[in-house]
Amino acid sequence: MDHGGRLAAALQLMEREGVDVMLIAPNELNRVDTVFHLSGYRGVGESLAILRKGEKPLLIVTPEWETERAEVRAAGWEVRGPDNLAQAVASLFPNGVPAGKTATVNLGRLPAGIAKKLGSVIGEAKKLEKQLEIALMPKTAEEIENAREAAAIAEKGFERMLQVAKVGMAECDLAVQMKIYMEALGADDNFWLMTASPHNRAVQPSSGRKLEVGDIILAEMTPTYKGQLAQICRTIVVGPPSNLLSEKYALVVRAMEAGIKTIKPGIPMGDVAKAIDKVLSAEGYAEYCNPPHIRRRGHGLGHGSNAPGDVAPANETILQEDMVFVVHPNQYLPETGYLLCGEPVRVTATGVEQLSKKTAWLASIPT
Amino acid sequence: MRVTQPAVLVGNYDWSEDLLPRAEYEARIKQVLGKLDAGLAGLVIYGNKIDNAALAYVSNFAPKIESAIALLTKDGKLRIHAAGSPQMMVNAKRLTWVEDVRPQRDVPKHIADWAEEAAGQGAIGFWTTEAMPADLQPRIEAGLGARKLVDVSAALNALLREKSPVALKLSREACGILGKVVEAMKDRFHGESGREAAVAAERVAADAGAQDVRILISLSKGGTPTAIDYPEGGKLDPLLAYLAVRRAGYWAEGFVTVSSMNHDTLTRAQAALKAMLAAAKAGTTVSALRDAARSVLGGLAIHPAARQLAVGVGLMLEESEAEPDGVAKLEAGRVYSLRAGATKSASDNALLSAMVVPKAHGVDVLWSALD
Repeated sequence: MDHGGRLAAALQLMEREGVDVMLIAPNELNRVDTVFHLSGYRGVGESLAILRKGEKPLLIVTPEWETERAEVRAAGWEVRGPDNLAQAVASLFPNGVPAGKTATVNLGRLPAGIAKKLGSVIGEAKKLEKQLEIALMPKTAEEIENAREAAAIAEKGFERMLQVAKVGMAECDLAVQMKIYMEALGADDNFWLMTASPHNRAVQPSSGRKLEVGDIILAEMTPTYKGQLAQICRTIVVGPPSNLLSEKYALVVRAMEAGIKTIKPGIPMGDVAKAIDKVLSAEGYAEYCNPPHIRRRGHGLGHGSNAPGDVAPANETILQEDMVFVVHPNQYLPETGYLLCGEPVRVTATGVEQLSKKTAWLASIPT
Repeated sequence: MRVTQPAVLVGNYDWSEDLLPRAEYEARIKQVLGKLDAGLAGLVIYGNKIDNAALAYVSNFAPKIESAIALLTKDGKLRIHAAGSPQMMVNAKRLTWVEDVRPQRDVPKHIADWAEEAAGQGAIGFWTTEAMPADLQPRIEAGLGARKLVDVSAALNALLREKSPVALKLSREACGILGKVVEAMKDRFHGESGREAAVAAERVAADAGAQDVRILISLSKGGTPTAIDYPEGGKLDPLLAYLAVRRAGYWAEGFVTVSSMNHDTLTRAQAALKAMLAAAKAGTTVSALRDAARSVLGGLAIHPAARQLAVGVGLMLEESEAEPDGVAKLEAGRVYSLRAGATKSASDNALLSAMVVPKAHGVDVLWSALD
């Protein structure tokens, strides 16, 4: 699929749903930008994609000077840059939007002030968030290539982290250094969590806590390359790892590999999570395969869409070629605390492609 | 200025008593409670990673992911619910002096339960931001049932605009960092691409103690600063940039235009900023600033990104103003960014700015693109 195909899929959805107009907003706070997914433009201010039956797709961006970048990124779209987004929509539909034939996506996630004004223009409309996500699910060839590049940036970032992490360094200082390093490599954003403790309960956004001997550093690196995320999850010991920790980490990696090996088109996503749980349960950790210890074994990747959703037993989404997601057991074990390992993958015609070159290993830094 | 929003706030947002003493927060909470209508039983304060000014004002808490709420009772007790699992509250607690930090699972239910248990009878005040998603408030209202939710943001936002000595000190420090960042950007302009210069400037900001930095640059020669969303990007001359840094919650922002050639539009914009700085003092109206700028722009249009000639800067990059059209006149003790910009064509623009504190007989310049 390419961006043209994705737009065609959105128009087909409108046809199926009996809709003439669809207004689509980003969901910035939850990192799902459907406008970007559809058009290739990721906004600075509020933006809205408007699809109208029989007309060129329209992208409304704010502030007005964002039109320059929007025109470059959203090839094939008409771009308008008004001062006031709600007024621009109102002027498009002087007699109101077509009653009963209008749909919206994510309008409730827009900032309250703007959504309120838009609401008075649009009135009642069908909500098509889930349907549009499904229709636009396959990654484009360009996004897959970008995911490979993002994975390569993450791996280089991790190699760099092993060189610069030192006892006494604040988590945040290390995290910021790594973020900037990955930006220099081409990343434009990063869902980057990093935390350390001798016994972690979770991976968290980094804090001012200073690294100590015996810490286990959890690193969830998720750089974005041209808007496409890829994630690797890694664990580093400050000082030499104990035999127990090495043994437990090997178990978590083995569980992850079992999950990855399961991946092929036609199976439900839930099977991947079950394969991971099976390995861990066989070693006596069945009770740690459920909340509050673990909620999911991975997730979709993208600023545009989280499809195909969580790697969780209950996810019945059938895997298709070119779906991209991360598999991460990220397991809490009572003996060692939370351990991270995770790799980004693509579903191929017959199986799976791991997008990272090296599989997670228990790394260590000297004291 | 609108800036790109990162997926997660990576820098150090931990509360530091050295930078923001507990007494500062006690005084702020007293002021907040003093402004609340006597009939209100308590206050809900909302913030997210995009705009956390109100939340940070009372608690120092800036959500590094998604959002958070603070629940304030009339006797000053504060509780925070933050995004993340219970296990993630370890680092969340480091972001605030507030001891009671809990995971945020179901915002309407947290608020309804708290209103029943901790708040008294009566309506609940709501201090929120335009960056709150529209679908949240109706859900909170539904959760509260018969009890009313009263938006008190307009009244309480006045507190964000007033700057205490501590807030002014941090604003000054932010401006000091901004100066270093701008110099780094200018230094690298001659040899590196705009993107590389921006990355280098971000590194300088981090080393200088910024907890956050946002940089926008021209996409094309002389273009208005925008998001750096692609890895490529050549050397642009002129290059326009917008830089913002945050220090212990307080932002400083600056527009700069860098050019290796004589550039009439830039010369005019420089003259406009100079004229605005000369005219500015406590009580100066924005229309007077506009007149001062226009008098030296030689007929050039004011750049759209500088149409708001003065914006309040503090815990947010553009503070909410009492007037719907933004700052009407400069007030003593506040921190403003004064912006000057001229435009001739899509590729012939200049943007400059200065951070100032108005006084009775002029302004205290905290940072200026003219330096």
